Formats: sequence, structure tokens, C-alpha cells
Amino acid sequence: MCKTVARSFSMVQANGIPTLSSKEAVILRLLIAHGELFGLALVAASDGALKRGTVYVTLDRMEDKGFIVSHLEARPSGEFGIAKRVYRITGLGQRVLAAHEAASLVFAGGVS
Amino acid sequence: MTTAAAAPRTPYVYYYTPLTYVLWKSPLQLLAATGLMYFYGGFRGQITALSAIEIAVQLLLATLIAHLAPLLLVFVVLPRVRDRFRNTPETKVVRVLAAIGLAGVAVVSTAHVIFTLPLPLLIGLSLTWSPFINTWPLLALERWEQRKGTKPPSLVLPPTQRMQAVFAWVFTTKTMTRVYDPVFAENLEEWLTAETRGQRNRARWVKIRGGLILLHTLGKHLVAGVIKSVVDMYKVLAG
Repeated sequence: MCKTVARSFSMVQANGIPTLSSKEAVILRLLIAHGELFGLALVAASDGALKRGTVYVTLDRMEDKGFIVSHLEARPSGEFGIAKRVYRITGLGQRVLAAHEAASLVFAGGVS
Repeated sequence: MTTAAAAPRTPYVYYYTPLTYVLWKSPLQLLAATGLMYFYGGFRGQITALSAIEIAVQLLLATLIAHLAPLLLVFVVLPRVRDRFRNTPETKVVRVLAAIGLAGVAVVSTAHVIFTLPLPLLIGLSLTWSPFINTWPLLALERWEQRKGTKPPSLVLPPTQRMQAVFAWVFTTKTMTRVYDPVFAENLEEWLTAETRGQRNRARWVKIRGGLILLHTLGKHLVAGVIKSVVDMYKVLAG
């Protein structure tokens, strides 16, 4: 049981396949649909599936896994404020989402 | 014994009481602060006899006392314990346990601040009873009436400046840029939008909500960190 719990929180499963939580899947779908987005826009586009208080921790984890990359928004020099961080999906993220959705379809077909 | 009316009033009283209640949060700390103030003659009349240097020294002393134990833990005890287990399989376990302990302290401290701060603040703000009656807030209200309409509105500070500095001191650059800076950036942008449109109430709400979002993010980040540490510890123990 301990191994199962440990595996559920780790980034990679025992067979080497990266883990993908439901929130991470939502973020990847949104990034595919909209291209580049920043955190607040992700929350707004998710229809309540993502919360502002948790989205950046999730995005940080996804960046560690290599599903997304981020960069600071370009701002005119001298403008007041802090630059926002913009996120973009990677090739690995696209492949993992595709595999996740294919597996979901298989399991949905099997149950019905 | 000097009377309150005879004592001269200086602007120190504006800052003294709120700072006392905000900086010395717990009842125990408040008791210590009260003792210090009584020692300096604050309770026997007005506290205006205190000079700015004395106030600064008291604040420094109380802050040192309140934070001495955690500082000792982090900078004296933990390095020694860690050195004892250096280059052994237990090193990781000790680090993880220390991380869990510090996270626990952070959670308990946060809850402590949330649940004990309102009470001293209520006492301090009370117009009916306060150990500082006739000083603050009555005097502040009196002065406010005197200067109303004679002074331009003070500069409004953006909501994120101090908090961002504190977080930058606590967390690593990577964590700041990935997790907390985006939260500050969005909060600041929302606040600036509301301020430039003249929506003062919305700006205030953005400040409050920004603080709650920051707390939520902090909680989530700490919980995720503890879980990751436990998993790492399990991996070490399981070989």
C-alpha cells in the first residue's frame, strides 16, 4: 500500500509513464485550445475547474515534469508592475495528454 | 503620579499602539509587551514620555525575544544535528523530518496569528475600554478631525510590495519566479486597474482577496512540499 501511495504522488509511474492528474489534463487541454495563456486566464477559461490559489503550484509541478514551459511576458520598459508569466504546452505534454485521452476512451469503452 | 491631561502628546502615539498589537500578537507576547511598557512608565500616564529610540529598542527587544527560539532552532540546533548525520543514509531522513517540523511550525504559527490577532486588535480598537484610552484611537480621531481637509491624501502603497519582499527572503528564486511572483503580478495588475478607474472599494476588495489567494497558494505549496518530502523519505527508507 505504501508503494501505491508513494507512486501516486511521484512524477513518474513504476513503468516510466509520466503521471497526469485531472487538473493537469484540464490545463493541457486549455493550452492546446488557446496557445499561450497566463494563470488568471487559465482559471477564467476553466469554468471553475481551476482555482487561483492552486493553479500556480500545479503549473510549477507540470513545468518540473516537462509538460509545459513558461516565460515572462514582454513589457514596455519603465512600465510599473511585475511581469506576468505565460505558459505554453510542450511536445511531451501533447503526447502525454493524447495518451491519457486514448486510455480514457479505452476504459470508457470497456466499462460500457 | 503624572496625569494624562498634563502630559504632552507627540505623534509617537499614532504608531505605538497599533504596532504593539500587530507585532506582539499572542497574549503571552502582549503580556511581555505590557510589562515592558509599564517598566518604561507608559501605563502611568501618557506614553509620550517614550522617545523614538526607546520605542525602536523595545520593538527590537520584543521581536528578538519572540523569534529567538525559532532562530536558535534553524541556525544552531539543525546544523549540528545535520552535521552529526552527514554522509550517512540517515541524512535525508533528518532533513525531511526537519522540513516536516518547520512546515508544522509554519502552519501552527499561521493559525495562531489568524486566531489570536483579532482579539488584541479588538481590544486595541475598543473605544469603551483600552489600556491606552485617551491615547489611541481617541487621540488619533481628534487629530484626524483637526487635519481633515487640510492635507492632501497620502500616497497609497501597492498591496504586494512588502509581502513580496518577505516571500523572496523565505523562498528560493525558482519557487518565487514560478509560484509566488505570478500571484503577486496578477494581484497587482487587478489592483492597479481598479485604482486607475477610481474604484476604491473594488481596490480594497482586491487587496483582501489577494491576501486570501496568497494564503491558499502558500498552504497548497506547503502541503505539496511535505507530501513530496514524505515520498522522498519513503524512497530512501525503502532503498
